[in-house]
Amino acid sequence: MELILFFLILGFVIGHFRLLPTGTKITQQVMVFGLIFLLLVMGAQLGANKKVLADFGRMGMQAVALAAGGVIFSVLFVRMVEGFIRRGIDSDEYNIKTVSQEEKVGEEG
Amino acid sequence: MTWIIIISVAAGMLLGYWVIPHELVGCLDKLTTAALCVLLLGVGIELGQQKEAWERLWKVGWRVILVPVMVALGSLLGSLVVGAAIGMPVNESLAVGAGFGWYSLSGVLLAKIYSVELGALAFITNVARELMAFLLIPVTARYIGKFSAVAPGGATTMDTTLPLVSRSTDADTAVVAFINGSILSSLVPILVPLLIKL
Repeated sequence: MELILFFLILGFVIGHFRLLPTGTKITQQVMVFGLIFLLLVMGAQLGANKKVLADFGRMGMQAVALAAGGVIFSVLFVRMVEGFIRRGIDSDEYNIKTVSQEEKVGEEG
Repeated sequence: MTWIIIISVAAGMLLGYWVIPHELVGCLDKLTTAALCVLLLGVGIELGQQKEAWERLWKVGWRVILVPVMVALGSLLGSLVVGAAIGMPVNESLAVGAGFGWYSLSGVLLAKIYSVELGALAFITNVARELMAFLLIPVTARYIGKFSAVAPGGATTMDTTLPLVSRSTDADTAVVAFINGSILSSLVPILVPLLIKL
């Protein structure tokens, strides 16, 4: 856990302060290889585990139920605040327009 | 990229089943730890470079931050409720839900730090979430609300599902979707390890 957070924060600092030469694609390439390696090992561990393989159908049903739960509740939660957010954006747009109009009037005057 | 990820897992499963000796799979611990550290370093670099999302958030207004907050709370509560119904421990259901659709990272994280079974469940759950998002985004945008259409995609609204959100809604919502995906993606590598330790 500590190791994970350490590398995540270290990466964030490197990215935020642009400590790597710009235009390099090495980060993405290393990440893709790291990810493929981890996925292959995860797959191999699954393939070697007969108990998990026998349980794959049940796991699929659980996965669909968990995903559906997350999707339904997140849509409901965002729906509850949709109007509030929309009013905020609209009033900000109004403010931006008002400010720019005032500036124009000021310039003309 | 989606196909590379799915093919990698499938190829790994075939290798584990037929080719690689069982003992060797267990000996890969140090290599997988090193690969995970490299992966998280890369994730951190990408997140650190993403100043665009914060600049856009500043322009659109603070209320927009409620979208990722509500998507995160809803995803966690939804997984918790379903997890309780199927008899899953609280930490496991919350950690799977905290993947927010980012199946590759949540899968390998849980496979490495907890168990390969939960890693596989997180992987399949979050693949299912992304597939559901592709089906539900246009319907949600039409019948429920444009911002609500951002919710099914979770962390994927900054990349894979962003074009669909953009096509199904409007320019304002596409910006919100990008901010939503960026914030949720930043939360995945923090929340998944934290919640599994509960």
